[in-house]
Amino acid sequence: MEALEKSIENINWHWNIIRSAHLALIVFTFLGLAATFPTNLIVIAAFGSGWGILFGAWALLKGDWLWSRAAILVGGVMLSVAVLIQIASKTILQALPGLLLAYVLILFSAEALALTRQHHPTYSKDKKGSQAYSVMLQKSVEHMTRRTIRLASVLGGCYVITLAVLFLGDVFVTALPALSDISLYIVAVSVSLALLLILRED
Amino acid sequence: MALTSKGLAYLILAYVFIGLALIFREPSLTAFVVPNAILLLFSSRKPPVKAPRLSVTRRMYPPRSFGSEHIDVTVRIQNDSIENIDELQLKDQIPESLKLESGSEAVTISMQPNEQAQLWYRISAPRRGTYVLGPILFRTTDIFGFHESSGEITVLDDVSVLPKMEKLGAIELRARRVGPWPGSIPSRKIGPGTEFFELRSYMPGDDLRRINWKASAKSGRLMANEFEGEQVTDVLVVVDCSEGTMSRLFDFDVAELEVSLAASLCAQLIHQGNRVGLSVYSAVRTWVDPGFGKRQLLRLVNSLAVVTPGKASVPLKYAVESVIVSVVPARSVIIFISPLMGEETVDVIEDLTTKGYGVICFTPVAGSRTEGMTDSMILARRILASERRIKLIDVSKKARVIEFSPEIDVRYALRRWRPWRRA
Repeated sequence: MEALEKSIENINWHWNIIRSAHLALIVFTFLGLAATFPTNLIVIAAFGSGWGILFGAWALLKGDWLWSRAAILVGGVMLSVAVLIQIASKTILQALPGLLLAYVLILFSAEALALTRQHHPTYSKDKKGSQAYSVMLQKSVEHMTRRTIRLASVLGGCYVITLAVLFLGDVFVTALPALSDISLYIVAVSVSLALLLILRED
Repeated sequence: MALTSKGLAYLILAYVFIGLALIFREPSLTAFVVPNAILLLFSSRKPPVKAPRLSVTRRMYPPRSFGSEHIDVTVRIQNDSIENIDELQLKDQIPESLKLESGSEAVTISMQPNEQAQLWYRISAPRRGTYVLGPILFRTTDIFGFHESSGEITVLDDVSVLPKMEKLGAIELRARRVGPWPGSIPSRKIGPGTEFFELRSYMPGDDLRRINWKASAKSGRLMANEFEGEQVTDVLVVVDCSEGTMSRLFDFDVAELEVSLAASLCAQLIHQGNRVGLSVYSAVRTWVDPGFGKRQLLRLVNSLAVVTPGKASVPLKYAVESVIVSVVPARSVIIFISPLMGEETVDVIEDLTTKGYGVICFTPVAGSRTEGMTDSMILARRILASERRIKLIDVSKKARVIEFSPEIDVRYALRRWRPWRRA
C-alpha cells in the first residue's frame, strides 16, 4: 500500500513538473509579447502580461476552461495591439520575427492549456487508490509528455518554415525586384492550400 | 471528415490575417498565415480519424453498497483495431447524485493495437437508490484536434445503494399463528423449545435430561418436562411513504428513517428465521411476497432502495384489503411503519386487528421546532399534532405502538416494549 501511495505521489510530482513547464511557457510567451511593444508602452505591456500570466497560472492550477480562454484572449489582444503599433510605426518587417515567435508561442500556450485541462480531472488530490489508478495516471503522464514534445516540435517547425519563407522572400526580392510584393504569393499559396483542404474535406 | 470547431477557428484566423493584410496594405502580415496553413496541411495529410474499435468491460466492487460504503469501479478498455490511437479521450458517465471519492472517471491516453488500459474510480452515494453507470463516451482526434471521431460505447451497469441497516437485536414477537418450521416465536404448543410448558409422566425413550427430579420426588413417579415449541411466523412489513411522510410536522426526513427502519426490521426478522414480506405504499406501490432466507432479504432491501415518497395512486384501504388480506394468512404479524397522517390509517389498522392480524405500529415522533414559522403556521402545526395524537391513542388501543426518531435508539425502544400477553 505504501509503495502504491509512493508511486501515485511520484506520478503527481511528474504531473506538477509538466504543469510547471507549461507555466514557464506561458510566462515566456507573455514576456515575449511584452518585448514586442515599444519602450514607451512597456507599462501597458507589463500590465497585460501580468494579467495573462495570472490567468494562465490559475487555469493550469484549476484546469479551468474559462481562465484558459481569458489568458489566450489577453495574449491575442496584446499581439493585435503590438501588430497595429508596428504597422503604424512602419517597422513591422523588422519586428516580424519577434511577432511571429509570439504568435506561435500563443498557439503553443493555447494547446498546453487545453492539454492540462484535458488531463486535470484524472488527477485526484487523494493519494489513495488502486494499482489500476496508478497505471492510469502513468499512461496519462506519458501521453501528456509525448504530446507536449510533439506540439513543441510541430510548432517550432512551423516557426522555422515561416522564417524560411520570409528569408526566401527577401532573396527573391533581391534577385528580382519585380517580385517585391512576395505577399501576393504567400496569399495565393495560403488560399490555395486552404481551398485544397476544404475540397479534401468534401 | 469535417473540420472540428477548433480547426475552423484556425482556418478563420488565417483568413483574418489575409484580410488584415489587404485592409492595411501590409503584405508582411500574410506571414502569420503560414503557421496556420502548415498545421492545417499537416493535419489533412494524416490518415482520417476513424472511430476506434474498443472493447470495454466494467467491474464494480462491491456490486451493491449499504449506506455510506464506497464502490470501486474499474473500466477495462482494449484497442481491438490494428492501428494506433494517438489521442483517445474516455469518460464514464456517472449520475450527478453519485459522489466521486477518488480516482477519475475520465482519461486521455494513447493506445497501441491490442493494448489494454483501465479507468479506476471510487464512488459513494449520499442517498439510497439504483443508479446506472454508463455509457462510456469516447473521442479520438488528430494531434491538433482539427478532425475528430466521437461516440459512445453502451456499457450500462446498475449500482444499488441499499438503505442503512442497523442491528436491532432479537425482536420478541407473539404471533397467534405460527408456521411449521422451527424458529424463535413461542407457539403455545408442545414442541422443541426452551420455555417450560407443562409436566407429564415420563415415557420410555424420553431424553433423561428432560426428567424433572423435583416433581418426580413429590409425585413418586418419573415426571418429564414439556417445553413450548418455538416456531416461525409470517411477518409483513408495511411502509407508508405516502404524502404524510413529507409533512412539516416532523423535524427529520421521515421517509428515509422509515425505509432504514424497515430494512433493519426485515434483516432481523429474516435472521430470526421468519417468513417476511414487504408492502410499500408510496408514489409507486411495491410488493414483495413473503419468503425466507438471504435472497429474500436482498429482494426486500432492493425494493426498499428504490422507494420514492409521494402521493399514492390507490387508497391505502384498498391496497391493504385487496393484497395483504388475500396473500398474508390471518393471525400473522403485520408491522406497520407509518407517520399516521392519513385519514384512513387508523381504520386500516383497526380492520387488520379485527381480521385477527397482530399489528405492531412504528410511528415517528412529531417535531417541536418552530423556527422560521409564522403564528398561523405554528397554530396549524399544533392542530395537526393534536389530530395525530388522537389517532395515535386510537391505534394504541388496537395495536402496539413504538415511536421512533433519529434521537431514539430503536433497539432500546424494542427492549422496553413487551409483546402482548399470551392468549
